Amino acid sequence: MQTNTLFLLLVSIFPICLSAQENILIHNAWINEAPPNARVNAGYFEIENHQQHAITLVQVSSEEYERIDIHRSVVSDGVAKMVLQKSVIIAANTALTFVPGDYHLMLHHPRKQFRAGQQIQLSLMFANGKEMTVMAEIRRLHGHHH
Amino acid sequence: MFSKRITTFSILAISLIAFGLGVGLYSANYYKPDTKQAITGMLWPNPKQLRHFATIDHAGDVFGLDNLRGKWSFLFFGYTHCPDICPQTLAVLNQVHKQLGNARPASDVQIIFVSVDSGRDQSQQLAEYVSYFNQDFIGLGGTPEQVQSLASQIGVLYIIGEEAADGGYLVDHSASLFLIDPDGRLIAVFSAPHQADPIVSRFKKIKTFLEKH
Repeated sequence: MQTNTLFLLLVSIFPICLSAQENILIHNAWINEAPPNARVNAGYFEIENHQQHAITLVQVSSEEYERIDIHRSVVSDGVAKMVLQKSVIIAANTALTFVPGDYHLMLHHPRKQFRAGQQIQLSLMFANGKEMTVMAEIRRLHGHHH
Repeated sequence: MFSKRITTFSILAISLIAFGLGVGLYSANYYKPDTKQAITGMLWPNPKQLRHFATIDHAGDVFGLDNLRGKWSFLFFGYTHCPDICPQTLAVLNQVHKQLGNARPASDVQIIFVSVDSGRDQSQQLAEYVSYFNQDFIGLGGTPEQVQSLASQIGVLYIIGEEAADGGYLVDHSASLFLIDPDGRLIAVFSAPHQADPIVSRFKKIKTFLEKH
């Protein structure tokens, strides 16, 4: 938490601008197809930061969902819990993958039921105010690791 | 001189044979399937005999100990508002179900999802949820007391979180898979993360092991 505050402070003090967004790549974005009555879905993607400084993801939104939280699933002493992430830092020249059982998006209250193959637009907001959009594919879970 | 050499050789040979025998015996004993640690997750020699409990299944009927008897049951405890771990685990269990079904009629294996979220998961909700993953899956729920009558015996932990502004809440819950044998005994606990292949192979080993005991 302290690191986040420090980072936000640095961002506000120094005129650091996220340069060309091509230096941030988001790929393999997908959302699990949920049972018909599910009120929540989970979303995953991989984000690559090819810049010389860290970036901080602070919010994700979509017109297709009422609200999206960034979560991390943690299993501790055999108990699974989801921990809300106020922000996620992707260090310079690193990649972070959102996968089942780890970092994921918790998408609340889909506006309608989505089927495998459909594409959903997600907007990712960063701490410096930059925004990126990505298309996430609805996929059916098969029980394999992605 | 010559005989001394023979004696030395003999002693060496005997020692080597004895050492070899020792290693052999040790290995045989170590790898014997009877040993406690032979199958990961198996609770042997002390499986836990379950007592009577009463939950409600996804069709609205009472589901108790008698419904476990005569079948192998895989139990997973979660809730339908769980977006990540629960769907992933049920998808893995669907793979397990398919793999076991290919080997023999799957009728002696039942896969059960127990909801620990009595506030939101009623029978109808559970029915639609579990059947999405597999038509043969069983969903269990009921009042908090009914769920507790099963969960407490297995030692399953769950914590209902605080409500958010929109009324939603998260539930912390056991991530393990529990295997109940046809005598109603908790025979194995498999820890997360789950993958179908090791679950199937351990299950088969446990089954073979119990057939000999």
